[in-house]
Amino acid sequence: MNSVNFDYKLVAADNFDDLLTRHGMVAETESALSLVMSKGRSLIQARGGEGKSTLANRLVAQAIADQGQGLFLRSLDWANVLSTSTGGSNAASELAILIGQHSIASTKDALIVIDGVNEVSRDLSERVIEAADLVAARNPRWSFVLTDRLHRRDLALSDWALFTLTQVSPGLVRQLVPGSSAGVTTAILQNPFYLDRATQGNLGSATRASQHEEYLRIHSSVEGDDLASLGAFAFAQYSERATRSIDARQASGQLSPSLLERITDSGIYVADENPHFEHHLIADYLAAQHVAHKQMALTYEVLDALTFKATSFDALALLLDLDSRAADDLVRSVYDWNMYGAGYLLSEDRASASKISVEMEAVVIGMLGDRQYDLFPATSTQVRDALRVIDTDLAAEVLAASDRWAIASMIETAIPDTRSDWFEHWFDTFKSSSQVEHQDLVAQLTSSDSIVGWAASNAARRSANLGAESESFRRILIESPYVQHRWRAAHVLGATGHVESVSALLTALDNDESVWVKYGSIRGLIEIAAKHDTLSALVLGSLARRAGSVGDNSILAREVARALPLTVVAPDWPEVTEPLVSALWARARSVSEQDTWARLGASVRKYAEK
Amino acid sequence: LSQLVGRFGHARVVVLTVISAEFLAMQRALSANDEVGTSGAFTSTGSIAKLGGKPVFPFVVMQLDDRSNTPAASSLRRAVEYFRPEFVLLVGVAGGIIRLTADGLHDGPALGDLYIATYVHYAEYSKSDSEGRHQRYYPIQQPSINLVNHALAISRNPVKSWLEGIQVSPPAEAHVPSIHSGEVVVVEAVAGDPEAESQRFFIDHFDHAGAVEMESNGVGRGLADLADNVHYAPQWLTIRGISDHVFATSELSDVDNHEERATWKPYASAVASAFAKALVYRLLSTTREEVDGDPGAVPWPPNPAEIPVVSAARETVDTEGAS
Repeated sequence: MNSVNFDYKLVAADNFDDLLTRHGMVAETESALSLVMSKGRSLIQARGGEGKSTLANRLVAQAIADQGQGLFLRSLDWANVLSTSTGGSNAASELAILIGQHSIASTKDALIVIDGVNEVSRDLSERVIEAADLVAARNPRWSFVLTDRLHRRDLALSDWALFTLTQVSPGLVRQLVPGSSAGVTTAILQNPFYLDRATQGNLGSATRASQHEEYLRIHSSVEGDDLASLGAFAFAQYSERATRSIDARQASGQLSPSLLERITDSGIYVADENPHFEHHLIADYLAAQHVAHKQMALTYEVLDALTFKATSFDALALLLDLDSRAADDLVRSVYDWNMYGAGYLLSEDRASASKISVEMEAVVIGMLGDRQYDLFPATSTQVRDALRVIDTDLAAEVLAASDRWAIASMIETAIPDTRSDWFEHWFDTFKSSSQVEHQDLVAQLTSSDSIVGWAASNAARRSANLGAESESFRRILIESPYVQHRWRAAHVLGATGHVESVSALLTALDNDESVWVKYGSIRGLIEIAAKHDTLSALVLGSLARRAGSVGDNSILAREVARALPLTVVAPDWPEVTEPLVSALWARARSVSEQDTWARLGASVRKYAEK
Repeated sequence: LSQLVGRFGHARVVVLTVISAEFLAMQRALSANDEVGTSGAFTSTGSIAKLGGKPVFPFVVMQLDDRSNTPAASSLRRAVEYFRPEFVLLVGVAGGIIRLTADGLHDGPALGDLYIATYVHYAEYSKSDSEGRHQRYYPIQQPSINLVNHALAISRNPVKSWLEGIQVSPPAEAHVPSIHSGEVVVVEAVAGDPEAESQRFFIDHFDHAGAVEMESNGVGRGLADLADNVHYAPQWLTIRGISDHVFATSELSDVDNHEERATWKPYASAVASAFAKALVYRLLSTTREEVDGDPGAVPWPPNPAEIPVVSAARETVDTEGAS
């Protein structure tokens, strides 16, 4: 809870387009509560530290004052229970039991906050939302507020109220922290988490990471070896547990008694039933600090650990503050792993220190912009959301671009003539027509520079000779020792229409050690099935026979659910995809998982009708 | 008390319709022209009482978000959350399954007849392997025996007053709807191709089913999901007018039923709506006993003469395109 009543407020948005750009009506607590109680469910989405929990707490306090009943729960507090139950229906029962344990009567109105939906894994966060949705339907006297990161969710908007937050006004920041100058520091301090730190400890650091560093030093005397030790512990917890909850026994075993006592006494470490750090940004800082301090290679494994497999990107922004490696190189590494992560990094950077070059900004925006014309509507929507959140002039222009040529023209205009060689190299590939030499593309696809590699992967998909020359890419997919190269090759092969490509992608789906290569392969397979009638039965039948392994892997299952609903597709797409949906439904382990696949079938039919 | 109070109050009966033509037919039959707040639900009267401080309505009429089971489940969930009804009626059209009897006759409901579902089979999502297709099952709440009996009581009444509520002329001369009851098969797409392997499968597999439609599984599934305590157990029923025929084999007919459905749908919707109206008023004529925490419900309307009279004059109504 902020120690001072900062002047940020809830903003009620009509839809996710508005929410992501902070458009909507400012709502005072009373009117927001009224909206929540009428709908029964609401999301408050904002960046880390922007005050979601504080305002949710304020709503609960108001509900208790008005109705006598309110409850504040943390997602982490029942993550352990949820992770052992199956499906949203079971999660709803667990949630109802938990609420009952807090003596909340179903005979009276009550507001229940579930804080930190973004602090558990993506699978659990979806089940938390499903559970709240169902419990609200079962108990019309109860209404829910869930706090979450900025992220489009697949929800029936007629049933949900959406909120985001305004930032703290620059005037108040200057008033509360007189030492802050216009610009970087003020921008950071418009985030209530950092402003609160600054007002409590007279901290006025230039970056978010240095604020954490000072805070830990002042409040717990954590610095030097202690900081390194705590960072190593936090990163190990992220890697092993894939959640922000902490194993108390490991904390006792791995941290010195003195350090553990200090962080416990200062409240930085909360040793309750579900031990955790005081705020998820502190945990993210510590994990990122370890990666930066050790100069760890930014492999897929490291990035997966820092972000819970691309669920929450806050740690990446802190890494950008902390890491002595060039900011553009960090973006390269992140882009190679997850383009949305690179987009998030850029958006955070542009809201603070602007360490990323304008050339790299153009690269990230250009590459994201190119994907807004993707075959898969889910991808198109997600990249457009990423561009909205980046919120720069170029991102806004690219959002309105009609095609890749228009994007190239915008970049041409935006970037000065004095360009880096690497940028020219990337831009040539980005602009390339369908006549690029095959060997050049193969060489570029395996470039150690990820942005060139992915630009080449996209260019190869446009290549006029792709059909005849796809053997090279199949070999990379199956034989390359580099996971990045295999994923880029899988991306290329989705644009081919050969049975040999199908075979290679299925082999990668079955055998590749990286889930991200499997992910790229399943996308490629569905793309082939959608574009080539003659291969659709083969591909979808093959995937149906793999329903067990696909359905058991949450990343692959989610990608199937994202990729199958298509608009630009043959009219019989619902019928040809039916064996796959049916097989996934038949192997489902719970009724709510059956519901998930039934909803996918409905979604495929609805999209195909568009 | 709270178990019967939804976000918009309480309605003893919620009538769910599928497409706009069916909604308009039902709305007209019940004179349900007043929306309850912004709920999307319509009723013919204002609040007739208060329950838990919220209004009570004898009935409301709502339209599903869309055809098929997934929208039906989400719409049902919303209807229950809004109104916590005692009874849910799903009203619309269905395909009548025509089978060949042992003596070579066609057997099944006629076009324009009424079909009451006593049991819902879900035919989608089976497991297929080298040995063929294996049915898989999905927990749902089945239609209420009590409501089936209420419906059959109406059908057995020698005074067929409900027929007067049919506001659309039948495409065929002098058609008088018969009432059938039995199993229904639920699928996810319109059934009309007797050559289709999936259609042959469900007609063979569910060999007692007399009709096929696309929403009842969603309603039953939604209700099963909402059942979480002993104090609230709404009953439901599906009422369908037969708008087309689904043939067991192509020997019976190889004609696509699209045109037939377009022709009969307005009348079949009107038949279902008229019957549903009769059932709504029958249910509202019953008393819900007062118990601790629930003041109960008295028969409505207090004076049966207040039941709105719908003109017996039949007319042709505009309908949406064929589904």
